[in-house]
Amino acid sequence: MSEAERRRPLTRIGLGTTQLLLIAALVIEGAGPIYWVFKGSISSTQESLRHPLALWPEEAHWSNISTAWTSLDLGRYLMNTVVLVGGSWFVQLFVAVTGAYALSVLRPFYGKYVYAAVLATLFLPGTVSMVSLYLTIQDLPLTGGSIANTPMAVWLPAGAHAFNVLLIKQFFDGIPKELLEAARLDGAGPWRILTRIVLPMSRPILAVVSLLAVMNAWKDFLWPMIAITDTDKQPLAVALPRLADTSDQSLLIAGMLIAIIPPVVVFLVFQRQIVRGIAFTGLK
Amino acid sequence: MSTPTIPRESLPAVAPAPVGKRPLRVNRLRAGSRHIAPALFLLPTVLVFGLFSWWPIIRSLVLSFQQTNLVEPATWVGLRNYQTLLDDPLLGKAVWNTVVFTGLALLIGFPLPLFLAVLMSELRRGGGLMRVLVYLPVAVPPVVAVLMWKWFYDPDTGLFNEVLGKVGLGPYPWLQSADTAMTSLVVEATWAGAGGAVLIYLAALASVPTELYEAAELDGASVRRRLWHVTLPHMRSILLIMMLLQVINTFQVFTEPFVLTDGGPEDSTVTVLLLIYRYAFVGGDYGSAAALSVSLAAVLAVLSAIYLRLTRTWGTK
Amino acid sequence: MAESVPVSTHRRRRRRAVAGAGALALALVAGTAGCSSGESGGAGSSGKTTITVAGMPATTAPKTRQQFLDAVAAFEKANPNIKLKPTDTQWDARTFAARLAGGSAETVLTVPLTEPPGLIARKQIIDLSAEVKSLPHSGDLDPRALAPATAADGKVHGLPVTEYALGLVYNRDLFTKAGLDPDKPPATWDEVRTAAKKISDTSGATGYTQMTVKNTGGWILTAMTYAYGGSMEKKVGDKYAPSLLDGPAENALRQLSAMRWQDDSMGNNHLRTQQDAERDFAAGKIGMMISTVNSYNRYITQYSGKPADFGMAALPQQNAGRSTLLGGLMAVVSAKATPAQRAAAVKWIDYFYLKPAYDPAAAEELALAQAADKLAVGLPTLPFYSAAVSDPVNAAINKHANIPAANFAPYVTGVGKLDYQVEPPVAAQDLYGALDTVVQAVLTRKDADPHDELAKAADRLGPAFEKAQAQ
Repeated sequence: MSEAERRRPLTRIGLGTTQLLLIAALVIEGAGPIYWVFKGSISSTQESLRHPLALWPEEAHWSNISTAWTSLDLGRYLMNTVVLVGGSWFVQLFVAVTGAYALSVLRPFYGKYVYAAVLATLFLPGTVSMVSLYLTIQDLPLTGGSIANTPMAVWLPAGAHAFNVLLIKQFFDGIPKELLEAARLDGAGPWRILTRIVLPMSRPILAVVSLLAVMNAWKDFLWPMIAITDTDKQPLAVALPRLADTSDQSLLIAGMLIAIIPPVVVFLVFQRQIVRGIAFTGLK
Repeated sequence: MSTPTIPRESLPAVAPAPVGKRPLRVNRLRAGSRHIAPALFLLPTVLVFGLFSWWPIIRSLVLSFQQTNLVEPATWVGLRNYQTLLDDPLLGKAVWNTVVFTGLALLIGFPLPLFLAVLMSELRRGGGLMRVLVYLPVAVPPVVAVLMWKWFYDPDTGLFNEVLGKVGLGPYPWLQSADTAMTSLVVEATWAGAGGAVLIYLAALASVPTELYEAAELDGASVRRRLWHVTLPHMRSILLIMMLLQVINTFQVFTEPFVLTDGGPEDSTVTVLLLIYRYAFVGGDYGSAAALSVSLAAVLAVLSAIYLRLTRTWGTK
Repeated sequence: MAESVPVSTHRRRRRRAVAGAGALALALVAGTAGCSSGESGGAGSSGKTTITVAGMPATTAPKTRQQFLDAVAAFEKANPNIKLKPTDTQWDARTFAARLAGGSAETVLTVPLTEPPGLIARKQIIDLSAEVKSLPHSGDLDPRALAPATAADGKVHGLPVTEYALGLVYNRDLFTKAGLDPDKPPATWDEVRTAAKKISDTSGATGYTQMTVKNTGGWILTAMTYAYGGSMEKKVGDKYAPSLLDGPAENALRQLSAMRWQDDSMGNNHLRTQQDAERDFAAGKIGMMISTVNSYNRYITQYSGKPADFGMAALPQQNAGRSTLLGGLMAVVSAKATPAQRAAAVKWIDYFYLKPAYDPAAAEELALAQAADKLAVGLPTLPFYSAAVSDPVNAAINKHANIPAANFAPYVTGVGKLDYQVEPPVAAQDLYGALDTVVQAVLTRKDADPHDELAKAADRLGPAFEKAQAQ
């Protein structure tokens, strides 16, 4: 809309109203449900039934949250989640950085075949090889033995993420080769060039890949559910649907609140970076 | 396990400034470490991809022609697993349901973020706040979002029927009827996913050169005409890419039907991935599960290939 | 960025660093793989036979867990050639086959009665007939107790751990409030219908609920069909076929349909799992449902239900019916077991699971541990042996009973008149899955016709039955 149009009084009123309506709608749509979970988590189940539409409970049961924490053992599941997310992040970054470095900077003659094989997996989302991946973690080739029910079962497959390799390799491709050549002439080995030159220059892309990795790992449900059947070792996302069937409503909702808080806080703190990152990369 | 979803056109935004000259190759390392170093650095990639991506893909293909109880050696059964699929009346239903989910998600979930993005970019104030609000649902872990909506849809105590009851509507069965269950799932999925698309569209809208608008304005074009003739054509590529991405993702829908309805009522929400899960982990029929996985993979590979082709050709424009 | 970066030229250090990347990768993949690899077991160098045994109670029940561990120690002492490795892994149908393949499945497993037919058909558990014959009191073993793990050819593939007949669980408090006599629960499905209507009319609670998802819909409908005098499968020639259209299943569904659509006494939630039904029942929101005897344990420990409100009756019967469905757990032995392991496994099953059913002293010891963990003692389960052997055992257990016995009295008297039937022998899980759909149709769509829905299910099951009997 042009500046001239914006100055017309009718348009201005119209715009103002639309703006208010839109923000009101977005508050209800975006923040409303999360607020409702918050409200539900401090209401007793009885009260939720009696006054389902009250905006604030007659009596706030803050203890619900701590009760849920202990009786549903949420601390354990949250810890499991953190361990899975942290490990997945590390493995993804480690694999993508070393692989991209080899492919972009060291360039062995067979590199293009490896890269092609890596890129080929972009065509096949992981879910379609889920069943055989499951059989694989039950009985690993090469070493034998099972990594099911251990964090490894989530960490290692997370590393096979072609998009990370692609992103980082493309970034490394853009690093001036003169710089690397100069360092090499100074006698620096590949590891030093990576840690002293390449990585410090790559902070933006490492941040984007880290963001992707952490968000995907935090949200993941199907694979951890299949790979980790021992209920004591499951992450929150897998434990909650199971608890949903067996728990008192207000406790379950308190549990949901606890699961929502960490990612929402992270989002609010880093929202600038995340919003920019998403706009840049198109990640969902 | 999620689909990588980054259109490549955006990459230069975070890449370092290119240097003028063609970069030199730097792999002329001293003899000895020349071959060892690249191999060592590639080892993690090859091992992890080999074990957890390449091998499972090959194994799926092999398994789809085999029958195994995982105790005795697998036996080759030719196309029998594929025959089992075709004989299963649930397959047709699952494919249809998946297509319906995808279609409804496009119908509801595709125009909505675009509309919101256009509206938000036209209204200049409150952009930061609106962005946060719009993205908030995406920050909620999907499983929690699903459980939240299960609570809202609850036939006895659910928020929706309570609210609609106040204005004299309902009660609606939501998940409790084959007629409305799938739509209810799509509404939830749209809520949970629309925020990301809005942000991407906003970025794309911001990249429309203002001169184009000014030129259109001089020609006396109305707001609607400008939207139709300037904005949308400029966004054609990103729209198509987002549409394909959405189709690829919704073809793999699992969490919603698994947690909300377990495929019911009357199999109205059984999706292809849910069927794969059931074959493998409920029925123990890994061969048929693999056959269905391979079939789904074939469809998705075609879609992904189109997607990658589009991002490549348009990314360079 | 600065052009010249100070770089060390120390070559050895560089080598090591480069090697580090690869070594870490190897460690990530390889070094961890051995951590939970299976006991390949068998006779070790010392001549000992090692078997893994599932079924150790979780840490939440410390006394019964200790009792299990004590039994393991005592067993090893009595059998110096056998080494036991107990696990508290819960049975999970989803993972069993793959764990078996990976070698991490236990030698002795306890599985729900729904599982053995499929496990036998897929050859994942082994025939124990020879070993069973040499067990003490084997002549007194009740064939009904062995039936769920007995293959069509008569080979016994498992031994009972605990078994009970499905029955009608009801909330005595809601019965009283609705003006019904909690000591005279419904004995027919017509009485169930009347009671359900009264309960939902007076209290607003759900009068009667039916599980419908994750194959429980088919499971409970099967019990109902038995109670209507029918069966789910019948032999046609030398093969089994679904017998859904013989009438009883349809009658059972018509009764449900009437309760749902004419009386509106079944509430609004018709996508129920066993867990959420049990939870809502314990919370007093449900008047009646079909459930198992040992759901009482979860009612008390997991859902904190009031013991006084828990009522249990035998499965109501209608028309020509006089049967109920058997539920519970059986101990089975993995197909990967060697002959020596198999013998050791049966020895252990006899020692731990069967002895408390024929030896009063062992029974009493188990009852004491369960009572100390606040688990139910004295639940009316199916005796594994003839009365001569079982009666003294029951007397020993009942000394420590901690359940409101009177609340189970209608069940005990009623169930004595009923036949115990087992799960459908062929493709039971496929059958249950198809029947979930049927039950959901009847409960969520007013114009769903039970006969048509059953016919659709029977059609759908054709290929599964063919495949299951293809050998």
